Amino acid sequence: MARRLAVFVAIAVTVAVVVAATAAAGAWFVPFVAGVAAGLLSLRWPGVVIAAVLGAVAGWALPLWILALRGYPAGATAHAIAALAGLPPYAAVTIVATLLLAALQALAGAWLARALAPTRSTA
Amino acid sequence: MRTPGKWGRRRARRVLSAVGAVVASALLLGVLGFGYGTIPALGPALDPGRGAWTSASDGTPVTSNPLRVPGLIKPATISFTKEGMASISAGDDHDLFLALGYLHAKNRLSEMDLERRLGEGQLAQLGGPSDLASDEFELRLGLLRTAQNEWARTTGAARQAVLAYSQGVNDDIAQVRADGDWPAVFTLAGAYPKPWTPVDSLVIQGVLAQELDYTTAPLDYAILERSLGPANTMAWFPVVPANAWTPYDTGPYLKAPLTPVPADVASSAPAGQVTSVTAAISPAKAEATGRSGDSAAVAAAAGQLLDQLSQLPANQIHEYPDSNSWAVNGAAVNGGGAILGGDPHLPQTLPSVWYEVALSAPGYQAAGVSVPGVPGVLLGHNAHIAWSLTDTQDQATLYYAEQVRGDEYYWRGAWRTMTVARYTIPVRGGATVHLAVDITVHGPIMTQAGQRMAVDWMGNVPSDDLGALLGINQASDWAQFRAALAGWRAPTQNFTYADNDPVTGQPNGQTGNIGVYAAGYYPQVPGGCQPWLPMPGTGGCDISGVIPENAIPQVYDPPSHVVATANQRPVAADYPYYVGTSDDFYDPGYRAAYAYQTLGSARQLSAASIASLQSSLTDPLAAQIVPKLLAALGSANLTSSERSVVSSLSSWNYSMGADSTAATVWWTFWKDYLSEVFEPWWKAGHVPSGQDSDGLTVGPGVAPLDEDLQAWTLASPDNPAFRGPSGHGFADASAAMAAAFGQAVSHLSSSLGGAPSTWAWGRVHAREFPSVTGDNGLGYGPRPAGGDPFTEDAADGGMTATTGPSWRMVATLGAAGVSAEGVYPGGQSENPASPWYANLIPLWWDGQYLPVPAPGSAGDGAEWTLHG
Repeated sequence: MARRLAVFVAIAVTVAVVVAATAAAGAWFVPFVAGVAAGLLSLRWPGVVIAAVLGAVAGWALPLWILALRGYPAGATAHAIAALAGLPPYAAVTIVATLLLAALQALAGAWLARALAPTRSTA
Repeated sequence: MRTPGKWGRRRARRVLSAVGAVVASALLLGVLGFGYGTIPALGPALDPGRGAWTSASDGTPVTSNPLRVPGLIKPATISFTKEGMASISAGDDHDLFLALGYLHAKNRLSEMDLERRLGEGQLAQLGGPSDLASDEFELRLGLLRTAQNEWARTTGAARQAVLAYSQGVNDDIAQVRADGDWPAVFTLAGAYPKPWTPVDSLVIQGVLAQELDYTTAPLDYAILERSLGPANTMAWFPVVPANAWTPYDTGPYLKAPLTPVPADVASSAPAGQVTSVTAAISPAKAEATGRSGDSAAVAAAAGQLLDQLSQLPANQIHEYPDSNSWAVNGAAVNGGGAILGGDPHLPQTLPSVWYEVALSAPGYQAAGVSVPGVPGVLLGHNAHIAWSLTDTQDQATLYYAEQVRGDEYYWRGAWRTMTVARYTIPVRGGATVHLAVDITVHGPIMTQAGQRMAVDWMGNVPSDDLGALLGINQASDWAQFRAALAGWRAPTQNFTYADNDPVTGQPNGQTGNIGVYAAGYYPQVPGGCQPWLPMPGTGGCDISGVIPENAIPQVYDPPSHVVATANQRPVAADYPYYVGTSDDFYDPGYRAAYAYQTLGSARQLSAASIASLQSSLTDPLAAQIVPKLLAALGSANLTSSERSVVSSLSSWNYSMGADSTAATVWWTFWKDYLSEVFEPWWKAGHVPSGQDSDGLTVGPGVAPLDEDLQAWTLASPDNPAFRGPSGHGFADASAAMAAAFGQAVSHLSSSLGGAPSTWAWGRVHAREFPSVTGDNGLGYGPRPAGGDPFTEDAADGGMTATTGPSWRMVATLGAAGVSAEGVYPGGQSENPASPWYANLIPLWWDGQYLPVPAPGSAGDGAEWTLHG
């Protein structure tokens, strides 16, 4: 049980670090790629998709957290982005939308991988 | 064992799942990567490492840094005050303007890009189909054509300045591109600014000219004549207003021959456009009467054009006359010298149209406010003079009803081929639009169907505004100031002036001259033509010249020691030239009269006196009309509510303070009074008010109606207009006032409750400073506020005012030098996350000022050291 939890956490952290690092380079689609990888692995290790989705969300939350830690006005920026995008002008809207995009990408990637991957015959 | 049916269903589910996953993934990645319609590409936009989030980096307080700015010849510094005011010191004039371009872009890049896109008809690329109407209008009108024409004529110091400025802007754009730290508006739209060019700066000048000078009055006149009839229209919207006003130029007037307009600057079309005379056959309705022939067709075309204009973003054309500028000297000033006050009343937005800056270089020592996108200080001071501007309001927009067949129009006895300018308008989330603009000798055709209407707008005349601006920045006396304005053609502006030179003819060493010079082109048409209406385009009513420079409105060192401009008609009724009608957005004159009265009767004036006047909430019209109202109500049978209201009006000081209940009653009464008198006529004439809510709807925003009712109430209380179209309306002004008062009390009781003591003006009147992008959540307010359109601290744009003092400045000029204080409602940064986004609003709101940094001074905040 403890070993499974450790693997779960390790996968989530790895995904988070990779997603955060590549986000800084403008690779916004990496959560989707992580989802594909998780989808393929999930055929063998169920639960990895959840870890990947959490990792993807954490990976996009991490730069925002660092932004705020460095003293940048992350909340005010989130408010401005929501307003400029024509959304209700609240910081939470942008933050939730950002993290939701990461989660959606990872889920879609996982779904695609599972749907297209060859499965073993049950006969 | 697997049965065929089970296997088939499982296979089908698997296929369905695969198809669903592929489609969902493709859709998701497609929308995130490329956007859909007006939905931006959210993947890169919300990428927390590179997307719109990076705009947070520009939201922190400015820190001292060395910065590399390619193109600088010598190092330069930009120091800031704690509030964000910037002061540039450069060892070379070229470097000064390069640093200014860099500074403007650093703080206002998206504002600058939005403004140039607006003028160049490229807004839809950023904002989508909703901005297409604006793009089509601007490309028809031709700010871009004019700017290109102007750039071809720009020479000397102005050319060098704008080239250096453009390089500074592009240095910032290159840095932002390299760092990926774009303002969020670009990242969200996925459209990034192209390199800055000198033409872009001239386009921004054109946008300002349009907002100050492009009017629709002749279109309104065409509709009013059709609805109310020519006699009533000219009686109620006369050329010379019905009320008394206070001009700053009282004459005697010079009647000199008109200055001819050079052929190559007569319209927005390139020189040589009039070509291909094909046949000398007169069209059926060619007119020689000075009026266009078919009034129904002209009114329909006017309505069509007004409909188009109503789709434009707010404030794109001129609507409100609200600026103030005053100067005093001599005995009026405490300690001698001169004092100049200026508060231009423009749309109040976040970010502001202004950027405060001090410039110091070998050739320039000036401070005040600049316009992002344009090099130089527009309103401010140097070591010798101070200056400010108000809009002159004269008629600068002439409309011509053209006779058209195919691609030809009839002019001066022949059919001529129209010039066609073709444009491509990219639309975000929509198909690219192709636009062809027909241009006659008068200017661009603005209507697309029915009667073709061309517009000859003075803003399309190439104008060396930039050269004039830089000349003013360097001027040290009245003669140099006047000389600098020689090339200024549009928009016509009252340039208020003060200096610290000795006063001519004053042997006691008195210093401080003051004056006003209303620079610009005032178009004149031949006698018999009616420029307040669309005129025939057949040639007989073409512009015959402009008022010569020495005869345009001006005043210098008047014996009263006061000059005041507040958009009032600048000249008296005997001025020998046409400067527009009462409906050309001239202010009714209340603010100017109040300023003359206040400043003229005062002694020992100081900067604080001028500042106090700028914040005055006294409504001068109320001071004239309320006593008449109280007299009219004297014998009336009033309800208890009405008696309470009368009591508050009787003790009122005419101040439109946010707490005042009398202010609420007065304003509601005045609206109802206008309505009681004019609405029956409007209904009987079926005036289509909806076609131009600002120009055709009965209300305090239509200055001629205010002036009429003021004049009738004070001097002609039995004017026939009170009796209405049926002849059975009110007997006189007193009866109409009593009825309007009853209506006002009834309206307020139902909307604010039955206790008049709670009817504070701030409950129904507010100010708001919306975001320049129009997005909710990025503006300020609405916040309960005092003022109205007639107070010096003007509040215009409706009961939630969005137009008012966009900058308040008081400059003191004496033997010790020239200094100024000022404030504008906003902040130096356009980034909503910056501490300098709206930090000046509380000061502005409370009527406080900050010292304008002197040229070459070091601020008490951070400093950037720029090197090439």
